[in-house]
Amino acid sequence: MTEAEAPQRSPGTSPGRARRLAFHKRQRRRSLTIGAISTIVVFGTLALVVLNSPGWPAVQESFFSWEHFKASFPDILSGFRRNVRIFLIAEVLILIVALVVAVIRSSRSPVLTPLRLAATAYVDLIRGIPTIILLFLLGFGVPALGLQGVPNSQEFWAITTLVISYSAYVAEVYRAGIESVHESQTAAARSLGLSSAQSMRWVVLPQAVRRVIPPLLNDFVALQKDSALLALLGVQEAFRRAQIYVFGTFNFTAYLAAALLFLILTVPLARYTDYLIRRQRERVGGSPL
Amino acid sequence: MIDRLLEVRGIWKEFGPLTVLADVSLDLGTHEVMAIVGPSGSGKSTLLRCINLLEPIDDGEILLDGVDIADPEFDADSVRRRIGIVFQAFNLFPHLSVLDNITLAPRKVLKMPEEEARVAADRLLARFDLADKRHEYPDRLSGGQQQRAAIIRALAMSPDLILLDEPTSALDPELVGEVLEVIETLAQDGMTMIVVSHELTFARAVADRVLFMDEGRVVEQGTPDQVLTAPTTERARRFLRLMTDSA
Amino acid sequence: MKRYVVLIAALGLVLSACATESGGEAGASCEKEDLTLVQEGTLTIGTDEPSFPPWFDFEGGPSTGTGFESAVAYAVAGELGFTEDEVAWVVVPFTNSFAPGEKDFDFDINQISITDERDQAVDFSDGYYDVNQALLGFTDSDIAGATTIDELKAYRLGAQVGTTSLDFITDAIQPDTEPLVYDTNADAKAAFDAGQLDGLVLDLPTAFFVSAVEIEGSTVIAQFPAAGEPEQFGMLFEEGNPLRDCVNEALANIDVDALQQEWLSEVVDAPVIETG
Repeated sequence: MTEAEAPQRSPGTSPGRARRLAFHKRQRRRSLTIGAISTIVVFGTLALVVLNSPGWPAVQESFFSWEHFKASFPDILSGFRRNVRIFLIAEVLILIVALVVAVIRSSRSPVLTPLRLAATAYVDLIRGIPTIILLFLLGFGVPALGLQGVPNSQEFWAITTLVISYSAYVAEVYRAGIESVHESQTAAARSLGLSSAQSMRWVVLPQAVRRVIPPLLNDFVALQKDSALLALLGVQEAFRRAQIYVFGTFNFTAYLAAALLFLILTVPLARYTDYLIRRQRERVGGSPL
Repeated sequence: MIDRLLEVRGIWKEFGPLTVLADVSLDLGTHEVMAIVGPSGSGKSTLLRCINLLEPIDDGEILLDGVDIADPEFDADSVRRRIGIVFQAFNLFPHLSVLDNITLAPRKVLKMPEEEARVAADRLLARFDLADKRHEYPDRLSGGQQQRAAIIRALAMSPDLILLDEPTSALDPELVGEVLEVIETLAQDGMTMIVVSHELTFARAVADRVLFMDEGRVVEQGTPDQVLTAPTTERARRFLRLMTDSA
Repeated sequence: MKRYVVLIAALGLVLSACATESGGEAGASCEKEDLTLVQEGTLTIGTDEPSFPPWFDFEGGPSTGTGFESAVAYAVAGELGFTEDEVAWVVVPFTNSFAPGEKDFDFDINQISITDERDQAVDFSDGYYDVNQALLGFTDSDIAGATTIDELKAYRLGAQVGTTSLDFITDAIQPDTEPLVYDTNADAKAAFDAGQLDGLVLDLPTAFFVSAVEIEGSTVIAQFPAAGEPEQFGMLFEEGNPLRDCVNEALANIDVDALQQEWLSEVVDAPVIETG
C-alpha cells in the first residue's frame, strides 16, 4: 500500500512533535515552580526577619495598629471625597487646557504668533515654579487682594492651581505626541485638500493623543496625590484628617490609612497604563513581549 | 487639440546649496499618462511634491488649466483637492478604518454627506477588490492592499490629475502586480496621471509619454519607444543599461 | 568559687553605681557639670522660627532675651549656671516638638500647652504661664458681635493643627461647619487675612499681638478662660530626661510673675466668654 499523503495542513502527530510539546510543557511547569518557590523564599525570609526583629512590635503598634486604623478610617475616608472631587474636576480641565496650549504651540500660523509666545512663556514659567508656591500665591494671595468677583473658596483655588500647574506639563506631553506623528501623515492629509486645522483635528491629534495616553495617565496619578495640597489651604481632606488624628494620639497608623486610600486608586491605574502600553506595542506590529 | 491640463514651466527648486530641480518643464493633457524615470536623487519625487504644492518652488510657473497655482498668493488647499497623490509609503491614516480613510476628505473638504461618501467609497472598494477590507485598519492589510486603498483614497476626491510617487517601490515583488493592475485600470478609464516608477516594462505599457530625469533636469522626453528603447543621450542609455542589467 | 564571688561583687558594685546615677528621683545633682545635656557645656533650647512677640523678638530671634519666653528661658539658664554665651538655640517646628522620640534639644519653649496626651510622648516642666484661648476676628464683621459660645457655632473658624486651640474649637465650640486646619499659624493668619475665615483661635497674647501689630482691622473678640483646671504652657523635654527636675527647681527660684508683668501686661481687655 502506498501512502498518498496530501500535503500536511497542520503539524502532524509525529513522535518528534510529541517530544517537542512535552518538552515545552515541562519547561513551562519548571518556570512556574521556580518562580513560585523563589518568590516564597525571598518574601518569606524577609517577612520572618522583619516580624521577628526586636523593633517590630513597636513599629507595628506605631504604624500598623488595627485599633487606630478602625478609629481613624471613617473620618479619613469622608475627607478623601474632597480629594477625589478636586482631582476629577482638575483632570478634565487640565486635559482640555493643555490640549489648547499644545495645539497653539504646534501651529505655524502667523496670526497666532502672540498666542504662541504666550503659550511658550506660560509653559516655561510654570514648569519652573514649585506648585506649592503657586498654591499659596493663588490660594491666599489673590483672595487677600479683595478684588470684586474673585472666588474665595479653597476648592476653587486648589483646582485652579493644579490646572495651571499641570497643564504646563501635560501640554508638553501632548506636544511630544504631536511631534511624534510623522510629517508624512500631514503631507497625506494636506494633499487630500484638508486644511491645516482639519489635518490637525482629524489626522494628527487623534494619533498624537492615542500615543501619549500612558504618560497622560502617569500625570493623572501624580495629580491624584497632589490633591493633598488642598490641606494647605485649611481644608480637612484625607491627609489633614489623618494628621489631626496623629497629633491627637501620636500613633502614625492614620497616615498609612490615608496612603492606602490613595493607593487603591493609583495602583490599578498604573497597572491599566502598563496594559495599554503593552497593547499599543502589539498594535504597532511588534510581538507581544 | 488636446487641452493642456498641466503645464510646468521652467521650475527651479533648491534645498540650501543643493539644486534639486533645474529649469524643469513638462506639459500634460487630459487623459494622458506620463511616466518619469531616472536615477535616485534626480528630483523626480520633488517634482511631484512641487506640482502638488507640498513644496514651494523657487522660480517658474505651474499652470493648472491655465492658472498659475504656484503663485504664493494662490490658495493651495483649493488646488490640492484637484490633484491627488499616492506615496511610496502609502501613508494611510492608521487610526481610521479603510472606509474612514477614504471618506474623510470627501466629507470634510467636499462637504459630502456621510451616506453619499460611504456609497461612493464602497463602489470604488468593490471595483478594486477591497470590499471585504472596508472595516479593517491599515495595519491588518498587506502592502499591496494598503497601496490600493491609498489609490482609492486619492480617487475618492475625484481629482483632475493623480500623481503616483514610486507606488510599488516599497512592495514585496509578488504584491507589485496587483497595484500595477489598478493603475492600468485607471489609465484605461482615462485618468490623467504622472507616475514616477522604476517599473520600466509597466511604464512602456501604460505611459503615453516618458520623461527621463537626471540631476534635476529633464534629459529626455518622448514616447516610451523613443525614451526607453532608443534613448538619444548617453546618460539615459547608461541608466537603462543599469536598470535592465539588474532586472 | 572565689572567682565567681569576686565577679558577682564587682557586678553588684557596678549596678549600684549605675542605680545611683540614673533616675532623677532622689538626690540627682543639678550642678551644671552633672546635667544631662545634648551638647557638653551648652544649654540647647528649641523654639519655632520665626518667633513672634510677645514671646520672642521677631527680628532678632530668640537669642536677644527680648520677649516673655526668651526672658524665662535665659532666667532658667542662669539659674542652672549657664551664661548667655553658653545658651544655643535650635529651630523646632511647633508640630514636631511634642512627637515622641529622641530630641536634639535640652528643652523646647514655644507656647506649648501641657496636655495628658502630649505628656505620654514627652515630659513637661511645671507650667510657667496660665493661658486662655482667644478668638481673633475683624472689627467690622458679624462675628465681632458674638457674646456666647453658641453664637460662634455659625461661623467659619480655623486654627493650627495639633494645637489646643483646635481642640477648643472642636470640643468646646463645636461649630456647624468644619473648622479649617492649617500647618502653621502663619498659614492660618494668611487665610484669615484673605477673608477665608471668620474667626481664628489662638492663645490670648498671640491673638493680641496679631490684632495690634500684624493684621489691620482685626481685634480680639473674646477670651475663653479654661472651664476647669487652667491650661498652662510648659517647657518640653524628651521623655525621661532628668534635666526636667532641675529646670523645675530653677523655675521655682525665678520670679515668673515679674516677667509676666514686664512682657505680657498689655494683654488685658478682651471680653470674657465662659465655656463652662
